[in-house]
Amino acid sequence: MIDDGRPIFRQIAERIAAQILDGTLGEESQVPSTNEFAAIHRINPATAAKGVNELVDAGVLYKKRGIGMFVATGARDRLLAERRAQFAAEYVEPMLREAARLGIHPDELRHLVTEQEVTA
Amino acid sequence: MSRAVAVAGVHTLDVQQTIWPWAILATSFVVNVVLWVALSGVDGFEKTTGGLTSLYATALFVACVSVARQLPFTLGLGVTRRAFMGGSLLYATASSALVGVVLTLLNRVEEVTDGFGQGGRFFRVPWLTDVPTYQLFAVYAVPMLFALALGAFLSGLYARFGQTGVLVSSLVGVVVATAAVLLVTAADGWAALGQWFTELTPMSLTGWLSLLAGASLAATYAVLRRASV
Amino acid sequence: MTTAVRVDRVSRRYHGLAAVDDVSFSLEAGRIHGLLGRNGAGKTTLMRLATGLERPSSGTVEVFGADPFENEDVLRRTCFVKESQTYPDLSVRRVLASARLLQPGWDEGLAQALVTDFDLPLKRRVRKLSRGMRSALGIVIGLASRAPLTLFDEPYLGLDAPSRTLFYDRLLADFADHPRTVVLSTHLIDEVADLLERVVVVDHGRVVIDAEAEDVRGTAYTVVGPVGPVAEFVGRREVVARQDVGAYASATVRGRVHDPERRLADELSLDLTPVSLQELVAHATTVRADDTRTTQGVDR
Repeated sequence: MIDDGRPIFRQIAERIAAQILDGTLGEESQVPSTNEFAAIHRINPATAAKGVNELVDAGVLYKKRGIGMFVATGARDRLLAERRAQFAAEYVEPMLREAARLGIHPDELRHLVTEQEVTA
Repeated sequence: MSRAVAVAGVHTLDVQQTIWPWAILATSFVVNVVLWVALSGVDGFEKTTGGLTSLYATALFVACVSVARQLPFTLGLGVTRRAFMGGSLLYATASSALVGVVLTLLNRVEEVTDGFGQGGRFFRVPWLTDVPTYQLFAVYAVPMLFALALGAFLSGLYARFGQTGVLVSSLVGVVVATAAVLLVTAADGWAALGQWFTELTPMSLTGWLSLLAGASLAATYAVLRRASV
Repeated sequence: MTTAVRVDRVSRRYHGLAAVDDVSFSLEAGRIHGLLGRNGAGKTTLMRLATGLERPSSGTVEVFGADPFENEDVLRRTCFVKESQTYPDLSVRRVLASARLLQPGWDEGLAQALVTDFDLPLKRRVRKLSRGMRSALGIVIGLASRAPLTLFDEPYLGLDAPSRTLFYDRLLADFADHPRTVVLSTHLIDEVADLLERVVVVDHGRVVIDAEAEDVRGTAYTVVGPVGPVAEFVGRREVVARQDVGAYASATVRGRVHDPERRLADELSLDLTPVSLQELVAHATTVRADDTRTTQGVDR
């Protein structure tokens, strides 16, 4: 796990969330078991369980008794909404800051954005 | 109880303990027979040998080494010192019984074949084994138990007191023996002692040895309980 | 939530020197615990106390609710893989067979799989194994025993990095399927940081940290950059360590890294890195210059 000071269980939760967002994990598809997560990421099963449980509490995953963990319907939308809310703080602000540092004028910045859009 | 049985099982798996003494004995026997055949014609050559002691000496040595090695190993695997003693005692008793049976058999074979056709005495020890067959088992088995117990005790001494401890114990032993000799001399008891020795029979000696074996075993447990492993 | 090991005000003294000094902690059952600290800190002594190999000079030790000393019921559920284990002079196969006899929970299938994984030569005498192979043997025994309380005391001496990773993987995999209480003592903390649920750190015979691994991780971070910006960042935060090299400075601050911290560091163009568990433990355990005696030599 990346040692950036964030709790490991949160990193696990974020990884699963990322996979749901980019479509790797579709809705109603089965998610690997906590033991499998623990094995792949080489972490303690209890820690993996904590990350999974966080997503269960957020309504992103749900448990089918005797079978395993599944992605809840509407999970992707829910996560999208969450991410959108954080987008400005997480991406736009730092970009503006860096632009300011480099002396890039807001107009130039807007121009760069549209340029990137075209090529993307 | 089952823990003790498990320990006995571990001793049985220990090839050194189970095979070596017999291997040494077999070697000693073969060497002796070869000598009997080779030196048959030589005048004054006695075909009586103390080769049997090799079995007991090896057993003592092996018991000493095996306690030293098995004790730390088994204790780490969740065995109490009590279970270790119990299991070792079980193993020692079984080994001694086996020795008793096998040697009695070989003694009889030697008797029937008149010293394996060579008139030799390897398993028939003068005076000691000149007893009725039903006593032979004890005569062979008890010294074995004593040898194993003594070996275990020496090992336990080392485990408890370390090298210095063993040295000190040896010195104490020498002092006690010297004191005993002085005491007997002072009480003018050598004649009585000599008398006691002549009246000794193989069975009474065996009796004394079994007491010594018991004392060694008790002493072994006493030191093992406090030994740092 | 049962307690597997409970140590209450325990001291262990040798000729006046305290290897363990008034130590108290509890280890919950079914978790992987790290027993961390420098060499000679008292980790081995604590493990020996928990397995009945030593008796405390004062205080009580309870394993599964009872005194482990000469306690058959407790000890048969215990497996202690020592740092330098003595083995009988036998082949690897026979040693494993012996362990199998003594450990009620032994899984032969797992043992065989691990023997293959670690490439252990079954027919070779243990005496002729390399240091690393001997450690691997200890690990095989410790894992295959499936003992409800399994203790590993620096079990990887001589084991190369890939083999250590193999150990951690196998430990995690089997622990997931067969939960039990595992106590792992190590000074290679960063390697096992993600495995541990709880950490107990000992220093000079005393407990200095006793917390969830998660609560210890990320409790400090370091900012590096030019002296000015670093000072601005630090402000009134609690500085744990500081280093000034010319125009640059590095300050280790106590606290967690949240978005505000990251943002500020980014604004000031400072490098921000969390302090690793290893470093946190190293900081909590100190080498006192005047204390040249360790208890290591006292343990036989």
